[in-house]
Amino acid sequence: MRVSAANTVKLKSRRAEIAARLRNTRPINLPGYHQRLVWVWLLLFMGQFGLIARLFWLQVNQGAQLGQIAKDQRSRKLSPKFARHPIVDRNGNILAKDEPTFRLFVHPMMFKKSRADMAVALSPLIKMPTDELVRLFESGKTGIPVIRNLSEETAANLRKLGLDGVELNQEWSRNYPQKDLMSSIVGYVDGDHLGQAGLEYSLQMWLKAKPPSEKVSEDGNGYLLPNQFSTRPLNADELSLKLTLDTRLQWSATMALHKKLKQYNAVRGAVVVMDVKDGSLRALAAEPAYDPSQFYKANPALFRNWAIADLYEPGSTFKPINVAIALDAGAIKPDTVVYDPGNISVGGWPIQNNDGSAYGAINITKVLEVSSNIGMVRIMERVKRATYYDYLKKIGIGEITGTDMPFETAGSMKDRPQFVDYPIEAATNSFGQGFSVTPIQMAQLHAAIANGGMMVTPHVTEGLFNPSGKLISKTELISPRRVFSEATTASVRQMMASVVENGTGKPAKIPGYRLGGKTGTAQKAGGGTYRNARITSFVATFPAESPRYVVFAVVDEPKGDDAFGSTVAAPIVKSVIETLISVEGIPPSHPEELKKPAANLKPR
Amino acid sequence: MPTAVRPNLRAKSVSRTANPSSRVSTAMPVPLQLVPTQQPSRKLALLLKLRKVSTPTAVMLTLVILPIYGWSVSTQLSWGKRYQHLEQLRREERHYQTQTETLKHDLTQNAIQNSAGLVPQGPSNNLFLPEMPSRPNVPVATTPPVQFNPAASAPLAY
Repeated sequence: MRVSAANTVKLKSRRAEIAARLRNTRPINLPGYHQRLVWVWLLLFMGQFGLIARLFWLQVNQGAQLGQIAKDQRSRKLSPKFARHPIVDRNGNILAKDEPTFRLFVHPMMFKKSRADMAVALSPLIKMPTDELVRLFESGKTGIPVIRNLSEETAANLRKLGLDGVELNQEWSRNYPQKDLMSSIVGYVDGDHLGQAGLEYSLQMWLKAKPPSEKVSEDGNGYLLPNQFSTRPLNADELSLKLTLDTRLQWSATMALHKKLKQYNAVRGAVVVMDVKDGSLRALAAEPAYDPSQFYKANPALFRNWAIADLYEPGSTFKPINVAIALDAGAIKPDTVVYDPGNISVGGWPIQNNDGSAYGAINITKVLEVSSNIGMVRIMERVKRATYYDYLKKIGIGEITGTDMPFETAGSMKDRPQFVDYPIEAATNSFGQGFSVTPIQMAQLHAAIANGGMMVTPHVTEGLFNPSGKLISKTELISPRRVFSEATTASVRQMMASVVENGTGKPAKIPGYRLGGKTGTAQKAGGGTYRNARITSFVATFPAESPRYVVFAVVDEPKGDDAFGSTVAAPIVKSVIETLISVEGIPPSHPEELKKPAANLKPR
Repeated sequence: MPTAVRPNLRAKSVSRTANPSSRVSTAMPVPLQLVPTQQPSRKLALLLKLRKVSTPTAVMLTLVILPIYGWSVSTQLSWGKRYQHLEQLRREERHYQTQTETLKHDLTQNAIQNSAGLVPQGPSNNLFLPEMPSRPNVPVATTPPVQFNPAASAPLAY
């Protein structure tokens, strides 16, 4: 045991010795160790400093520039939805709208497949025969136009094929869903997407849509990222040009006009429906019309709306305006009586009534009812010719109305000395001949009678609206101005109501309602003299009690012995007013005259 | 904790190598004297404590932030996908709008040309109702709640 104890002590001391030796064998620092440490430290420090300095240079000095490059790489502009704003009617029905289309070009020199294979791949998508495509591909090395007007869907499918040497260029096509119904107002755009007629032409700058300028970022897969999107609604810039026109009323006017043009084999016709409060047009039909999507097939003369661009002598529809002038000038009173002998001579020129009859002593209302030319000459003789001339100037004869539609023509009338010195000028003017106006100006003049004497500017645009219905901009129009007194216009309106009740305007009578009207049948001037051709018209103010609308129809050169304002134009106006009643829900002023619809219903 | 060692200056003169075999054969080196273990300074202790706290915090924060980062990336991606879908829908909407207008036009034209028993609306086929004065508000009569009588509603026979 003792031995083993001594061994244990020995062993322990041995272990301690080994441990001590091990401790002593730790690496010892060789001379120069401090210097080496400094070098290593310096190397590491310099390396780190270099990195920090480079980082500083990149982040601080070049940060903005490099940031921009990176941003440009991952950001792109949103693709525009329209090149031109859409045009809609007052109820939001689309009249003109852009659609993106694509044009396909091929560059055979860049093809990775054979021409035949390329043709086979493209053929089903673009619906072109393979052999035709191969022939096309062989016609050149690069930039071969293949097809236009490809839809967005077809373009997307073509892109999915991922073929080399195929190029798709975006173009715009303007869609006119109403075809020829609105073409006389809306106009058309040519192959370069530029407006060439109608509002497309006159409001070119307005209709041009601003392409999206803000850039948004996208990820590697082409998905857009939300961080750079503005907080505005996505469709905030998608404005639309709203018109005052009503498509339903336009249909009615066009159809009624079309029917009569056909019946009387007339050259052309126009219908104007105007809101007399502000001059906004509810319908403006001009026939014949053209399809704007096939403008190249149309007669270029149709590109100008003749109701705005062409002049005509208004004839008897101008008589109420003359009566208003005479009343306003104080030359006559509503109950003044004039003598109509049926035949007179003014300055050596014979003047007679349209039907050759003599009406004798008649009051002003009767003059309008029977549309007596001589009665009108007698009325206007009471107004000094200089005053008469000044009034005609005041109401804008010989001037433009200032409408927002293009190609408006100013009316024409004799100059002041000739008008004042030669009595025949004032005499012919008194029954609406010897000067000329546009159909739209006639509607404007009658609107002034209907609304109590204010001259309003006819217009078709309500303004540019954003998607939430807020008005963004509006066309500047001539502000309304007073041309007749309220009392004068009230008297004339009463007389015009009598024309429909008892006079030449009877064909426009609508049971249950009262309207004022005046027929017009004027000889057409041409080659310095009057021709046998006539121009018939009818103007109505509706409802007679408190007029809200002027409906004016004019038909150029209707053929037939019975072609008068009362037979050709009055039925058109009647039909349009009937539609107007149901569109606007105007209740009858005399409901007892209406046939009860219940009586027509058979019990089941 | 690493033990600080200080080299013995004498040992340096004896041997330049740390090889024990060579040392055994030559004179026994004087062991390196251990530097007495010192209590770390207050500053170091503070830093050490800070490390003890900051390391798990950093790990935890990383664990928390990773899913948040993932979520933010995936929402952006799904936003992008939804946006693309919206664009597709809007494109279709525009297409359908034009189609609808064209159809409306064609239908009207057909109705006019073929007149399939359709008549244009006018005063003769409209019903006009006279405007009635608004009725004064009449308070709703309060009826007593229905009393349920089990005896009365019991079936008479089966």
